[in-house]
Amino acid sequence: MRRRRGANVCDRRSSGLTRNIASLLGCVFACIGLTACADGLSNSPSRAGLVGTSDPFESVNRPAYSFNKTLRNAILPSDGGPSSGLSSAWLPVHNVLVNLREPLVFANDLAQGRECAAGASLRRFMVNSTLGAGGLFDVAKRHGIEAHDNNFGQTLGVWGVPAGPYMVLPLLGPNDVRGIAGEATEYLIDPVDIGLQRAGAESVIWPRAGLDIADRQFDAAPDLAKLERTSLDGYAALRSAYRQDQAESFRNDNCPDVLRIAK
Amino acid sequence: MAFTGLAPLSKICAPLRAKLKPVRVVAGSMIAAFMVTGGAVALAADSASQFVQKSAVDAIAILSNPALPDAERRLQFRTIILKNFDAPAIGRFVVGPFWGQAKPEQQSRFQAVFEGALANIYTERFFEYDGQSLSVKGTHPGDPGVTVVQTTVATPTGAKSYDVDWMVAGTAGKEKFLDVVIDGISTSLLTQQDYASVLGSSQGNLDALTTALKAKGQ
Repeated sequence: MRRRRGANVCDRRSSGLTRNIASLLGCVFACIGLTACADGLSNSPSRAGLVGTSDPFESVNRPAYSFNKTLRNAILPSDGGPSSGLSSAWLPVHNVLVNLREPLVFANDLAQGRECAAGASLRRFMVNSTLGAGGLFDVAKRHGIEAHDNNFGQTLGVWGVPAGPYMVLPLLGPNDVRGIAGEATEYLIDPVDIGLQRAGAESVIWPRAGLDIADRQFDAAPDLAKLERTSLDGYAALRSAYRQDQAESFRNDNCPDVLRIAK
Repeated sequence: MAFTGLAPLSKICAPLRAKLKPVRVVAGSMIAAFMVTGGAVALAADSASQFVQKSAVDAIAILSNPALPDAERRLQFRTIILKNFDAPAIGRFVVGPFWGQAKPEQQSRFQAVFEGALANIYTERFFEYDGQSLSVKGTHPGDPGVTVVQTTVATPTGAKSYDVDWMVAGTAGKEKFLDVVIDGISTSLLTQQDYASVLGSSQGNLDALTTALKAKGQ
């Protein structure tokens, strides 16, 4: 399961930088509005049936995609990364990263009115943080409550904000303008990062963000390798997969069967 | 991740069905029509579900056979795919609106090459068998003539599971797969959008797509 995480790329204590982020968000939201109109104009009749292929930033996205692909191939073996084997040494790291994200997932589940999914996130965080030794072991999963992801970009989508154009970011991979706005906002509101700050452990925030990016790459690498082997244009195939995955994330209520039965 | 996207739909449909009951009592002719239609749907669902399970058993028998060399196993698996998937229909779908613009001979050349590409795509998706099991969660009607069989594919330890929906078309005993949707991602739609990139840059020339597939070795 793909995990998305806001990039903690700056020092949040800088008030000047906070203003910059706020203005960046303003630009991003304005961009969503503009491109929502542009999307409609660019869909000529000859492209009818090819839903979801509009990509106004393709000329800058493709180099970013190529960069990510080159980097991935240089670092990771073709059959995937260290997290592709479930018994690998990376799994506890992956589990901890997923666990640290649960409060943010919980908040987004609530904001989207997905109370069952929010209950699942809360249970996961409580069980894995205690019985799972701080998240090293995914005890909740063994009891039928698998991890699901949620993010503020999706919350914006539920609130009616359009996705905007598709974008590929270096290192971070595929996204859309709404998703980037969401990740930038998560940077400011992540309860774990705020807690770390208050506890005087800011130094943990950066390594966590770096590990999170690496984990995403490891997690996605085997599927990306397969996609590239079976497609003519890996960029177009990934764009399609991303958009379909986004659509699915809105359809799926992420309520585990064990909690659904108990309702 | 549990596939739960259709649960709200079933909640909506249940009260609708309850409301239909009095109508069925009054309108005799409609009862017969409804029963025939309902029966056909149930039969289609059953046979589609059985088709998925049989296909899985056949595929697992090949993939888990330690006596087969890897090359032979791959060959047999490709044969099963080509037998169970409706390659001509999928071929037309993945070309999208450009299909109608192509000449019959271009279409024939494409279909001849696409069959191999389709086998490659699904072999790549499913070949790395590691003891996974498939369980049918339910069925529901899809597009006209299509039954969607919802399944979960899980590793033996349950560490990883995927929601896999199989789009099945055809009459009982002659079913074929039109698409496989893995965790919400349709293989046929993804392929259509991949090919659209090649077709778009060649002004919809189907021969360009056929050549690109050949060059890729598919």
